[in-house]
Amino acid sequence: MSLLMMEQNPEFNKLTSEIYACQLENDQRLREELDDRARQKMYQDVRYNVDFLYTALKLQDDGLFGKYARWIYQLLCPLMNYCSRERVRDIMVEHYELIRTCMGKHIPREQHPKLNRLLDCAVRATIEESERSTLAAPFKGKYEGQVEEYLGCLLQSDTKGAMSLITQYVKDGIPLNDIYVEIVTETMRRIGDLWHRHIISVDMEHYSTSITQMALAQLYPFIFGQKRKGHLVLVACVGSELHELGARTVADIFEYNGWDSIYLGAAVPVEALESAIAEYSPDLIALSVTMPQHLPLCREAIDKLRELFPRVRIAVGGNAFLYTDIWKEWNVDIYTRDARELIKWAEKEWESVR
Amino acid sequence: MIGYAAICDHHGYVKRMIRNTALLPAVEGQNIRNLFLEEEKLDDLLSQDLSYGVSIRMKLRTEKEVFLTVLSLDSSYLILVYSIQSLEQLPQLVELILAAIHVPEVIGQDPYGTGYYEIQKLNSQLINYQRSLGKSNARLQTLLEEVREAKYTIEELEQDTLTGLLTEKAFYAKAAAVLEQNADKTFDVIAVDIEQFKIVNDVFGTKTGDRLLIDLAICLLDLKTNEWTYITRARADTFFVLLPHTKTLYEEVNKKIVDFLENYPLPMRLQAKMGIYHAGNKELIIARMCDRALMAAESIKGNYNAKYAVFDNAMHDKMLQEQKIINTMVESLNRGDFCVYLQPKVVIETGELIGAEALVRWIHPEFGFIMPSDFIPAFEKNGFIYSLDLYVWKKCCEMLRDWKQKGIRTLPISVNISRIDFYHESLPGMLIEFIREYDLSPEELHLEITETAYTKDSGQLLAIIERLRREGFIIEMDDFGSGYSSLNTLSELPIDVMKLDLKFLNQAEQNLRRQKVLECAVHLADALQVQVIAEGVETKEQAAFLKNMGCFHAQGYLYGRPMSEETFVTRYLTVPGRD
Repeated sequence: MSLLMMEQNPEFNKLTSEIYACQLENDQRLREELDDRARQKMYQDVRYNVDFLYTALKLQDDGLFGKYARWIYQLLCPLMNYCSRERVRDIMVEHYELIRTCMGKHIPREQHPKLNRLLDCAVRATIEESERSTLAAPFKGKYEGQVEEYLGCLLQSDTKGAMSLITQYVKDGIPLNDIYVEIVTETMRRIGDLWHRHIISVDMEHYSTSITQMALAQLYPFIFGQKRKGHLVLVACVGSELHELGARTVADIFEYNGWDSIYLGAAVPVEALESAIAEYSPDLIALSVTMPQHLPLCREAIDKLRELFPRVRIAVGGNAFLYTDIWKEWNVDIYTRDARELIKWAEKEWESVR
Repeated sequence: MIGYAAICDHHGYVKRMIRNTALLPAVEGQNIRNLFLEEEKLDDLLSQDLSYGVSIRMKLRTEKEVFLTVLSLDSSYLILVYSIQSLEQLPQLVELILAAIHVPEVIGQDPYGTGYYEIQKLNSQLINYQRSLGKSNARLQTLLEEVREAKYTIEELEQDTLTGLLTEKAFYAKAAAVLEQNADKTFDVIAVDIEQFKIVNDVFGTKTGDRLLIDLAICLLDLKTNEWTYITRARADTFFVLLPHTKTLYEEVNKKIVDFLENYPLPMRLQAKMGIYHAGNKELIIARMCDRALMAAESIKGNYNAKYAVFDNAMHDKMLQEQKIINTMVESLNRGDFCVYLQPKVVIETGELIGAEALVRWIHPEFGFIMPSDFIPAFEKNGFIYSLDLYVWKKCCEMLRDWKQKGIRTLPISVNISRIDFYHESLPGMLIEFIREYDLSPEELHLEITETAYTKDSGQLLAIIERLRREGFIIEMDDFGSGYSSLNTLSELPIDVMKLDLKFLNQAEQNLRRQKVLECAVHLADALQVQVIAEGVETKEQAAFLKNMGCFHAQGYLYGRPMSEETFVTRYLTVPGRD
């Protein structure tokens, strides 16, 4: 299975291979030092970049690629700490120019203007980022202590510790909403970052997800024991088969606030969505998208649903939307950054319908 | 804890990072030398033979002291960098090392290795199932709660679950309200009690019994023609109805019930007792009114002719008196107000004395002479009978001993044992004790037990009687013929004497069939070597009749009424001229 959208697009696949080949050709040191495995990684990285470019193209969202460029710059600086920030900037700009060059060979001419624009965006963004005096400060919220604590347990593979921390936070009186959104979600975001920076391995990332899921499951009796309000939310993940945590957070928090939830899980095909909505007639549909590459899929799904169910309310959320405002052009009712905001919005919306 | 494990090439470049708990900055593609301050130390280490692993102490660039262990693999090194703060972290460190040595040399791993990927998917599914289960569980709990509440509500709704009539409590409340709000009207409380309802349950099963109750309830509900009528099923088979009084009410209700029972499809004759309390005295609470209605109903118990009874003053007085009796019984006993009278038993032919029956009499300082029929049932109900009987038996033993000591001729005295007495475990022991205490032999104290005691199903009772017999007591069966003995009981009864009930005799005179039965009974007794004594003989004709029948002993007014011990001794036991 592939996370990447452009699987279906042979031209962009070829572009990726081209870029990869060029990079190796141009840089002798790379050729010498990278062994097979490292080369594979490099190829993956290139693919990831191109895929993002492709996504931005499909969604016709310049901002998407620009924000991506910023993010990747931020990510690489500490990673490549043997280089200066300027050097990193140069490397990235070179990379974007390389894409531009290779583009000519494989991509249809009519797409060039758009792609060029996107690449310009990226270059600009990278340069801007490099000129910032400090790196954007890492996010430190109210529960920084707990986040570090929990993260620590995960990194040390301390299953028992992680599980008991969650229940401890409940006992300490931290609101369930906050535990989900501020502590757990932030921890997982950092785990994702660490993996992306190759600081932790993929099995650690899987382990963290599993343990977190198990730890949260301890709260189910508590969550489902709240008084019912008579509204129904249907939650599903579009595209990503492994990123359910966000969606489940929404479902759980809604349950905790008295809503009933139908939780469909991950990688839900549109047909499954349709039949579920027809069967259960939910008040609200919440769609979660983690990877920007799956945004087009989400848009398609929403269009289809709107045709069949013009009046149902639809909300979107997830990491994918962090890079873009594209949802505004979609036929959705709301986008929220996290489950807490969504439940707040929902409570207000349905207050009158009591 | 610092725990870092990685596979490096021979130049120190990290090929694969396995663990990095402290997020040391030596990731894939980087050189581990970056971690340390003393690079020469590291070089020295790497030039040694590392096939079995070598460890040294190193300083990180952060000045922190750590251990470094290097093991050489085929074409690479396994690098371990570690440091622990306490022994508690030791297991974690060991686990890290174990993880490290189990890492296969993986080339070209996908961003998501297939194995992990599948496991992660499965895990997500499991969690989803757990979530659904948790939700169902919570839902079930809520449903359970709702069911409980519903149950309470139904109970609160004041309905008897079997018949749908009001519960007793609700009835009392509603009836009280009605009476209060309608002080101008007169009301009746009617009690309806099915006779021998227990037999219906025993013979036909509780389902049929329940059905009967439900049907009767429905029949009674016909009476509910206005808002001042309430009906309840108060005890298992007792119904109370409150309704406004009308002239023809009693007849109507009675007819209704009789019709219902006569036409009821059950192969058994059903009868109901109906008692009425006319609610004139509004000072009584409903519950008491119901009691009185029931009392009226019970007063015609077993009387097939009486249709219904109205609670009247006589009953009321009786009730009061019973209460008074009960209030004073203990003191009376202690005071010696109870005395033992004796009635002679004789041979019909000669009038010769063969024994005497002890009968208790109560001479109350305030109420005067109280008949046994007035107090025995009450004492049996409240259990006082045992204390009374013990007193009587002791007194009899005393008499017997006195007679002996005084040289008076002695004969056996028969004492009555109530069915209730058999519930006391101490019974046989007490009797034996009395005999011993007063220096008597058991045959001198005959024990009279009424026939109904036998037939009321008690193997325990039979066992006690057998024991007493073994001890030497003579057992007399009282009121033979008044119960429903079967051949079984007859053949198995451990009795020595059969006392024939006069009532049976009375009817026998007119009825040829009964005569025959009586004759047979007497012969039967004879064959079983059981003595027969006829009770309640009052006329010479009766006596003659009995003799013809083959019954040679009798007791009754003809031969002497119950009298005080003094009188008895003087009249029967003392030979004139002696003493």
